[in-house]
Amino acid sequence: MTPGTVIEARHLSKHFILRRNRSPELKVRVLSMVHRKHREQLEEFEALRDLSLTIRAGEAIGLVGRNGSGKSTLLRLVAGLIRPTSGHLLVARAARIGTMVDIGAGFHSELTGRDNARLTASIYGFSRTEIDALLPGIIEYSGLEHFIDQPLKNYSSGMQMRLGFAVSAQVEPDILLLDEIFAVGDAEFQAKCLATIQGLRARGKTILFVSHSPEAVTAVCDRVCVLDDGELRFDGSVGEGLAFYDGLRQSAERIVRPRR
Amino acid sequence: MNRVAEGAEYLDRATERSTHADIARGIIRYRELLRNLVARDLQLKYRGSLLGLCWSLMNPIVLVGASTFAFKYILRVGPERYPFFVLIGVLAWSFFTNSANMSTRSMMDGAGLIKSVRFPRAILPIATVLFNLAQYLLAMAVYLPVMLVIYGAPQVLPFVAFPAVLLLQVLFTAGLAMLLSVATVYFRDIRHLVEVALSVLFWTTPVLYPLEQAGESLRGWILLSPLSPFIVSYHRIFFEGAWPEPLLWLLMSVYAALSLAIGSTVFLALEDRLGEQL
Repeated sequence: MTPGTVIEARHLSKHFILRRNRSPELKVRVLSMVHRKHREQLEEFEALRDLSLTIRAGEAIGLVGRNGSGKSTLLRLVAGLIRPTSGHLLVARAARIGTMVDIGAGFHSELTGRDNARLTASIYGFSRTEIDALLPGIIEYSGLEHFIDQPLKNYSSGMQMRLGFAVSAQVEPDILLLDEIFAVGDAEFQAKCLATIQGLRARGKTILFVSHSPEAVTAVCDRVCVLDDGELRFDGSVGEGLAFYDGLRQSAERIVRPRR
Repeated sequence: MNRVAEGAEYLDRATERSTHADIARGIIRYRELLRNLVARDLQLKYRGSLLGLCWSLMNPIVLVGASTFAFKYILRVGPERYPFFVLIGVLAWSFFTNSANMSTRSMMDGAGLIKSVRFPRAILPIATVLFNLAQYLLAMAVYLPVMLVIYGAPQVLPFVAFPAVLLLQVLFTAGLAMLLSVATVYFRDIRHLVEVALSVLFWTTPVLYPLEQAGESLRGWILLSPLSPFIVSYHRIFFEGAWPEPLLWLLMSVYAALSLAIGSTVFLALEDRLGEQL
């Protein structure tokens, strides 16, 4: 393996098993042994197919592709949330992986912003003293000083987003996985995110960035990977990658749209 | 210098597997997460009101009152100082039964976390058990002194055995909670089975009656009910002021070890696909 590699995928595939007519109940599963109507049907869905990719420390990679092309699956595989079906996915053992915790996932609306920030930071395995040290930075970064002791239910979705990103940014991840973060938030917040991402890059951190926005990809990334139908179709510069993706989209639209 | 480039050591997502030791290491390393989860649940339950506390203290008292009425005044059985006797069993039983019931939901409640961040998932059922442990200790701290004042203290020296019995009960409950938390993700109706099983277990455990009330031949069977040696030990310690006998220690240790072994093994086998199942 070349030095400086943080993530390496070798012939990585991920299949999901779509179960039709599957019941989450034991009762029905037992019933299905005798009753044909209740039997489940399996169908395999290839979310990623034979993907090979090497990512070095300090790279910012834009993952683009249409919905269902496998971008988010790749992020979830890197994060270790799901397991590859075949192939290998090597991730630097020492790397701290940062994800934007889904809004409403780790957060609890009855708790204050401060408690939510503490809880979210502790998911990374920090000790109490480490979190105490991180907290002022998180609060300052979020710009929510006045609201931090308010329950989260009083926050707008943009404010929750800011708090979530503040935690991700302040824990200094070595690999930051971002999925469509610019979909919400005002221009000021987006500018701040961008500055933070660039700061992380300057410190040699790696960023995997899923986005549909060409502007965001251009601003953040120095390399683009285009995924389509679970396959890696393009891997190279930002300009060429976005052009390739554009072409892909247009040809798909031509097929979908009937001629007028 | 950046940490990533230094160590040329890699994890393979395709082959990495958690082991029993990883569960233990994860709990130690993520103890702050554990603490925050327990604190969150306590905070939400007792949020800004003393009333929350009153409600959770009321349940056992109602049960004690009702069973005293039924057993002492209608059936006319049961030992002297019956309310004290029942309370000890009821509090420890509630700790167990609430943990078991809540653990069936712990993965579903934490689904958002499980699907967005990688952390040792065993933390979730363990947090459920510790949350109920905190409530149990709280109830004990309120009621035990009251009972000792009303009914007089027996020998207090055996009280020192309490932490050891409680630790064994926590281990036993944790093993079961791990098992139930993952199993329910695959089979949602397990929670109904658990409810039924718990109500059967309640009557096969000497909570409302002393073990000695049962005939010699039945006692062995009653002790097979996994919570029995724990409850009887609490009776020995607090009610009789006696030391739990060696047989009780042996049974508690065996049950705790079995529960932990089975619970963590099933947990490791099923944990893998949690991210996809939820």
